[in-house]
Amino acid sequence: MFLGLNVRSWVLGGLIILGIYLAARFLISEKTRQKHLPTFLLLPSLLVILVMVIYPLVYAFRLAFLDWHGFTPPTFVGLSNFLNMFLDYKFWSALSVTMKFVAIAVPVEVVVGLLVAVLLNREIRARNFLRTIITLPIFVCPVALGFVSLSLYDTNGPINALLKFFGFQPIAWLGTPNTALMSILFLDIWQWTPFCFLVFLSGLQNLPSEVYEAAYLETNSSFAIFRSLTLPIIKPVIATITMLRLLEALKVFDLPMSLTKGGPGFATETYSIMTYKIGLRQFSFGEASARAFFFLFLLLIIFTILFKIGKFSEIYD
Amino acid sequence: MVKKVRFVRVIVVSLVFFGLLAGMAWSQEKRMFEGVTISIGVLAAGNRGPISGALYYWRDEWEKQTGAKLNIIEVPIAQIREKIFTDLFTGGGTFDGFDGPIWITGDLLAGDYIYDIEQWYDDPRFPKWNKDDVVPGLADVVNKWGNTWYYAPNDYDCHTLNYRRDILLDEKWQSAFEKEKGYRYNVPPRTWEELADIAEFFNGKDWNNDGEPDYGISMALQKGQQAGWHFISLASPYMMVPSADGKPTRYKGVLWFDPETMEPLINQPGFLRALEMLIRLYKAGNPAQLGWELGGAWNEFLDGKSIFNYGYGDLGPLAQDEERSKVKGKLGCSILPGTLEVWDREKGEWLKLSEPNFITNAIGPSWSIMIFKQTKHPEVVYHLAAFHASKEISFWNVTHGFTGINLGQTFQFFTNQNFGDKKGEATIEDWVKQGWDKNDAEEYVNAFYENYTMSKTILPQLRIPGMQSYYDALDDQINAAVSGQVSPEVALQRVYDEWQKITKQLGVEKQLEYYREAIGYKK
Repeated sequence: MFLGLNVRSWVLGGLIILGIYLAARFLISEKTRQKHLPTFLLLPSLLVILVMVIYPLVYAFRLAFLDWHGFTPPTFVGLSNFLNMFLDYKFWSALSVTMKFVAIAVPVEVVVGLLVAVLLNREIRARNFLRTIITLPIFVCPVALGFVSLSLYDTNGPINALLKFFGFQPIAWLGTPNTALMSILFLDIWQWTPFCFLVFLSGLQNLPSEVYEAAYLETNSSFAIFRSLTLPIIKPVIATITMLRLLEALKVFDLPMSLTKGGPGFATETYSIMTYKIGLRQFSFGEASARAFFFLFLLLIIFTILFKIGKFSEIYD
Repeated sequence: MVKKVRFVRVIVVSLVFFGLLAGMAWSQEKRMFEGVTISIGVLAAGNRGPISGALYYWRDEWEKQTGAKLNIIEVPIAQIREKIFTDLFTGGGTFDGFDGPIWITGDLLAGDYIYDIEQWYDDPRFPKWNKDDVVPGLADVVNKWGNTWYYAPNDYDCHTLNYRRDILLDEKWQSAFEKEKGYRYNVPPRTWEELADIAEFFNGKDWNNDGEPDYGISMALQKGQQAGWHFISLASPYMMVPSADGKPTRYKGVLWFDPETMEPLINQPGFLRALEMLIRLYKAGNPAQLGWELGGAWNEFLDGKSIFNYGYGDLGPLAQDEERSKVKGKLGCSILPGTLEVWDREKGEWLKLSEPNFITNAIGPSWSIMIFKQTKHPEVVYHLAAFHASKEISFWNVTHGFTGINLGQTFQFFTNQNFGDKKGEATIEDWVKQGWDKNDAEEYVNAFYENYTMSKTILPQLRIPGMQSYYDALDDQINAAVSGQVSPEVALQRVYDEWQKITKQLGVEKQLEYYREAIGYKK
């Protein structure tokens, strides 16, 4: 067995390919073969995309119109999975939690990442050491980070020990709606700011030094140079990193799942957690699929608007 | 002379020949599944952890007896349902069976995914166990569906109360409580109101003399974990009017749904009072409870920081581990408290009682070996289940705390404890030999005995199809209500609406049929 197929299947597959090749060789003229060669060479990749991407997408889209729990045959329910979604308070709550999360996490990560990158782009002491230390959080697996942080946020954990040391009352970080979301945000920012930092740093290092030398002849203000020169030049990097982080933050799952399972109540139940629960805990595949497609549609709208407002197409052109 | 020698030779050769034949036959009989390998899924807890520990411990012995190989596949608790059904839906064939939670039974039966075990029960090729050994009433809500047995006895979970016996029996605290509350408490508390009073009294006081304030109760209330089950256990005496013979009727001995209409009972006044009580208890404990899984709540109790904890029987064995526990020898255990009022749905009023309404609790996964129809070796899986159900193995399992297997067969109880004509066969020495403190062991076993004998009304685990959807809806709202995001009334009404929706999606008539079979209701 190799890749799930036995020897006979592999031999048969090989013979079919050989047959196609020989048929093409003897039945199609040299000129026609040359003309269609690029299309022919693309076929394997197209086939993979069709099987691995298009088919699951179409299958999932079809599911969105079915009521199916796995135990009984699916039944067609039209648009009711979509309509019921809008009547469900959990849908609105998950959407609101996700947006809150994105609205705080992404700007903080991008701004702090940029500032640290600008700072560590200068000639300062222990610069390389600091750069290495700062990038370390990127390499931590988010689920592992979540589980490790359970002890960090524990009532007897190091954060509360520190609070007690300074005479404050310990806080149930994961036990109240506000502190739970804040705790997750803190970890996300801790983990992903270094990523923004790293990309910004590589962008800053590619800036031509001659332009800066010329600018310093005009002004001594570092802020003015940063605002009028650095920012406009690295705008494509800012746009790229913002979109990447936005996309990831909108899909956030592992940290809240490992830390709070979406609780207390619905305080940290993000859209991905809600969809996961409906699909893979409750096996309501139709409902989960409808919600996943709605989110895909929402992301498309958000990114289209961003492209328009931020004039990203101009930036990339 | 030559003839004599030849005769002796023939006799010797014959003896050797027939001896070999008999030996081969014997080994064939003893190793009936030579060369077969089965894969059994189990809760991921390692070779000394709950549930998986017993499978690992006995693997070599079972393989020696059967000649088969046992492949143990550990699955984290949060993924068990997902892994099982993904495998069954797709026909993946990863698992021949699963030492799984009984709450998926309805889903398994709806998809016709499991074998019943009646066909093998009397077959002499398999290890013997006795159906009558299971504590009366328990098999109906754990091992059986209707009149058919699906699982051999293994683990029987229930919620019991754990408390600090040393502190509650201390005269100093008893007097102080009496002075503050105006009455003397029972040890253990007999009603939830009394328990809440005690928890509130101790909460915030430094009763363990470590220089820091301690807590009244520790509960695992994290979302997606145990909050729903804690609530259901607490609600049962408020909602379940006892029936004369313990059998559920339309208005007595039922909790989840009306067995005539499948209408959810979750928004009834009994549930509302229970939820208000859960919120009151939460406030008598560490605010971090909303972020705690089972381990968090157990650790708080084992660390000697809370007076009460209620839940599965695992805490008793854990308390014996002196590396982890400060409460060995200080443990008190009992049936969960009752109530002096119960909501009578038939009359639409609170029924006042002279004695507390105790309910036999059967909430929990009650891990049992399930034989999947996708397996090519159902008999081998049954052999494993029967092996673990047999007296000697099962007795060893319950007395060794690390296995996480709890009592539910009559012979596992003490000799002075009886269930009708069935008597317990264990002595306290059997437990002490395994490292238990004598008093703790007595308290622990007595709590199970109380739970199974003080009431005829039994709170069953919800086992119908779609159980996970029903539970998630409940758990979400209980968590939201306790954390103050919604009022108890709104929370329960939302659960009611969601349960109605789930039932409609799955088919009211079908669900009603499953529900009646699951709780043993006869019209």
